[in-house]
Amino acid sequence: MYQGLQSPLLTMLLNKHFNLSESTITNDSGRRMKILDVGPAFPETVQFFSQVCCRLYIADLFTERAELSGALPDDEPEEASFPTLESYPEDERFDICLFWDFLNHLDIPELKAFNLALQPFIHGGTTAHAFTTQNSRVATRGLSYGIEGHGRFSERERTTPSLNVHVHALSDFKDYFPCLNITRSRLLTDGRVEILMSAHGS
Amino acid sequence: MFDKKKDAETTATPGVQPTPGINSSNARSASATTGAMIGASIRIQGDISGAENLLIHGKVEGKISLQKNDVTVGQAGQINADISAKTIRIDGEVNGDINGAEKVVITSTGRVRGNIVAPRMTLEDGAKFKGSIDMDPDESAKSASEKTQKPSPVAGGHS
Repeated sequence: MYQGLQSPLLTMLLNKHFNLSESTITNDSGRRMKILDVGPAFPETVQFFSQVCCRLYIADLFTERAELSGALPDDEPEEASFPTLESYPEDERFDICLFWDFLNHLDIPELKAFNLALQPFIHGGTTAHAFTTQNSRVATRGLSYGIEGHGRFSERERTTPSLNVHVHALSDFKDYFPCLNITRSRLLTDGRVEILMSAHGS
Repeated sequence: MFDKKKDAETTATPGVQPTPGINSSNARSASATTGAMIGASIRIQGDISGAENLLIHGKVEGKISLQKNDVTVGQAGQINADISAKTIRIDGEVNGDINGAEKVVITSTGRVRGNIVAPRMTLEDGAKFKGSIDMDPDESAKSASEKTQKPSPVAGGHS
C-alpha cells in the first residue's frame, strides 16, 4: 500500500455532511446519508463509513467500463452507458460522490454520457471529490483510493483492469460535466489536481 | 476453550458426510458453526429456513432465512439467493441481497454482488463487493442494549 494522502479538501467535503471530531465522525442529521463510491470496494472506506448511519453504494465503474469496452470489437463505436448507475432506484439522491480518478478515464462523449447518467441522482446539497490531471503520465499511475480517516485517503496499486487515459482541462468539466460545479481545487506535488465539486445552488 | 477438532466432530449432521477438499479455512468456518452443513457436492433449489446455524459449501438457489442464527458461506459455496440471518460470514460467492441483524463479514476470499443491510459491516482486504451497504452503528448499539436488558427466561416456562 502507498502512503496515505492528507487532504484538507476531503475534510471540507465530509464536514459539510457530518460532524467531525479529532478521531470520530458522527451523523447528527437524523437521516441516512447516501454515498456513491465509483471505485472498487476498499476495506478502509467501508470501515470509515460504518461509523455513521449511511447507505454506501460501491459501484466499481472502473471494472464496468473495462468490461463494456472489451466487449465490443475495436471498429464498432461504443455508445457509453453506465448500467450500474441505471440500476439504482430512481428516487435515490447522493449526498456525496467519490469519483477518485474515474473522470480521467472518460473521453468527452463518455464524460457527457456519465453526466446524463448521474444527473438524476444529484440534489441541491450533493458534493463530490475527484482527482484529475493534465499530465497523462501522472494519470496512468493506476491507483485505487479509499478513505482512511476524515482528512486522509489511502492509496494502493489498482487491481481492476486498466482503462484508457483522457486528460481534461478543468474547463472541460464545466462544458461536458455540468451536473456538478468545481468549487475548489488543489494542486498536489505529484501533478495531480484534487477537486471539490458541488451541485448548482448548493 | 475452543477445541477445533472437537467442534468439527460435533457439527456432523446425520446423513451429511465430511466434505472432501474442504481446506483449513473452511474447517475453521465449520468449527464456528455448530449446526447444519451443506456439503460441496450438494445443490439446493428452494427456500431454507430454520433455527440453527448453517454452513454452506454447496450451491443454493432460493432464499435463506435463519433470523436468529448464523450463516457461513464457505470458500466453495455459491449462493444465488437472498440471505437473512443474525450474523453472516462470506468466504465464498453470493449473488443476492444480504440482511444481517447483527453483523455481516465478507472475508478476503468472499465475492458478493447485492445489497447489504447490517448495523455493522466488515470487508476484509481482497474481498470483492459490488452493491450498496446500509449501515447504522446506533442500531447495533440499540440491539446490544436490548440484548443485555432482556430478562432471563422463567424456569419451566413454555417457549
